Amino acid sequence: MTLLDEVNTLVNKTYNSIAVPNIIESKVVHFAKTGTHQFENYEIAIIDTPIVQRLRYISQLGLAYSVFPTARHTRFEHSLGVSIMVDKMFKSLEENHQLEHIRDRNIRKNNYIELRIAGLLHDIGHGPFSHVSEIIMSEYEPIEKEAIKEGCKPHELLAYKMLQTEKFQNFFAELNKHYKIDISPSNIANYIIGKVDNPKDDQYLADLINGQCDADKLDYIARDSNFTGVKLALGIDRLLLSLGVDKISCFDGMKRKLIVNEKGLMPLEQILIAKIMLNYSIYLHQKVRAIDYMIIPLLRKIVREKKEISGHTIKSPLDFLLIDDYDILNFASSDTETSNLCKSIKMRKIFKRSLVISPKTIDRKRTDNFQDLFLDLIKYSEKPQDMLNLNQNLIERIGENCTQFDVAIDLPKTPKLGELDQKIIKLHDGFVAVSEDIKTGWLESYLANKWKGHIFSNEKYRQRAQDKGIELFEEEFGLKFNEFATKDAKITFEYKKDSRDLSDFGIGL
Amino acid sequence: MVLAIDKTRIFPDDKIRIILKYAFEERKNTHFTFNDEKLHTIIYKAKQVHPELFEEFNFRMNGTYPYSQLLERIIHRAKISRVIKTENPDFSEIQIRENSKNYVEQNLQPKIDSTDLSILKDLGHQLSS
Repeated sequence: MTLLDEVNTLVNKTYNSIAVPNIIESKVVHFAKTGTHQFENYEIAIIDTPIVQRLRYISQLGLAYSVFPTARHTRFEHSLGVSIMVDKMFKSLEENHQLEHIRDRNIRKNNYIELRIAGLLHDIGHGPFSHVSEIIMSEYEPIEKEAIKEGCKPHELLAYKMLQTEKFQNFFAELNKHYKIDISPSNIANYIIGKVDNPKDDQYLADLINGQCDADKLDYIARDSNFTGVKLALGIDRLLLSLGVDKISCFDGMKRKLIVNEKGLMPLEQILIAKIMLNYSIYLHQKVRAIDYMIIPLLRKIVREKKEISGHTIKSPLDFLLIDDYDILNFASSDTETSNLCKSIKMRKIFKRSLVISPKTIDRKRTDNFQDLFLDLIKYSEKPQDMLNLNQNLIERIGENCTQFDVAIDLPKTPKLGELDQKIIKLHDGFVAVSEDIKTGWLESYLANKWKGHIFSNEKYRQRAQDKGIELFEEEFGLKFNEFATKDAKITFEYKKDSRDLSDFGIGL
Repeated sequence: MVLAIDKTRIFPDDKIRIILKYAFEERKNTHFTFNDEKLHTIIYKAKQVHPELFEEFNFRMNGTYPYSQLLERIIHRAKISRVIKTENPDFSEIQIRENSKNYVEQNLQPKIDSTDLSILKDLGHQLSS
């Protein structure tokens, strides 16, 4: 059974019919920050499908709102935001005469409609808590293999597959007929994974949705900054005015790609720097990671034990497409361990730091050649299964009935910065990369210096996780820690001060 | 009995560290200009000829050069751990310490068979040229 067959079965089983409603007219929607926008009747028909409505209940940043209280934005508003952003990008290209090569007005109109719809649908492959359930999805071999092959993320791959299902094909056929439009679900699916049928002429269309400077990135960076309150300088309007379309010599031939003219260099740099700042301020914030590490084993358990949630039996990570954040947070299982964990997450009874792992917390006097030894440790971060094994080693050292629900080793992956090296900036007579113009090596040095790993644990095992973690890293990797590894975990200070514990929920303290 | 960490496995990071070591040897152990595009392209081409040796590396082709996120992360990890050192003001030249080269020779190269090792050596030469 192929992955597409599995997705087909899932969609067929869940949605008896994805009916096309008769929406008489376009609708106006108001947004905080980005203002008032209009959606066409056929777009409203898509937005009204249960598959898009589900995104209202999937938080954009997982449980980051436990740390940044106003980060309550969801995949739903982001999806509408991407649709609006790609609209602005397309219109800017049109106004700047960058689309003159499309002589046929109908083709241009169809491109425009398909791009807006791709924005609406690009995140339908997300599961509960967005990136958190995506980790579990990536552990599922059929998803992992195809996502690697296509060079895309698991949620993008699943959105791509969902749009290829018979149900969706029928839905779009009916949508076309009812609203007298002519859109292709396979074009939309391709845009979501950054592809087009004919890259020589059309690569820029996919670039607008999933490329080096795409609508998704422009929306999420501004949105995450706005809703977390992490202030960033972003010149998105200036960037939009600098976008162009041009033929670029690429490794595999000439392609018509989305480019940025010289005057857009500064706002593009702002966006790339903002992406790095958001990573360290929000996505890799130690408390956000700690919460993630409470959800990850919970989601694994739900799949492993085929739990029934909101009427759906979760037999594989694919079934996460049927549920949302609220289903998990309100999950009342007969299994006390699972129920208590859900409750403690909901009540923000979360893991704390036991040990800080970084080149700065290694005792360099006592660790010969710490650089290579440290690299031998963090190379385990690439595969979730390797991290699970490493964690299991720690758990066994801790003993005392400690489980994956009590302690977690976190060695975060660094953010993707590939766009820095793509030659898409038109300068003089050729194209250069951001990295060539501003020598972005310093950004990578910044990344390297900010990077931190941790051992997280609940209160019961906090001290023991620290002691046994130090033992594990010394015995297995030859790494000896300095005082900052333990001091920065603030264990002695908080341990005594914090009177709350998880015993309210029977966690067993 | 504590679950053992398997030290014999060859990680993709190990292969790239060996390539970098050979690149430095080729450059007589001095700094050399490092370019992500060049590294990604070399490994992409090598994968076409030796798919098994580079099976973990997958490339996205929608940009101006073949891009592998795994390869990018490996270089980031080498920078985080300070195995690769870059220098001001351009950060475009990189260097590996003598100790790291010895470490690669003693701990990583013995895990790789001689045929694969000669392929990695050749790629190191390409990277440094």
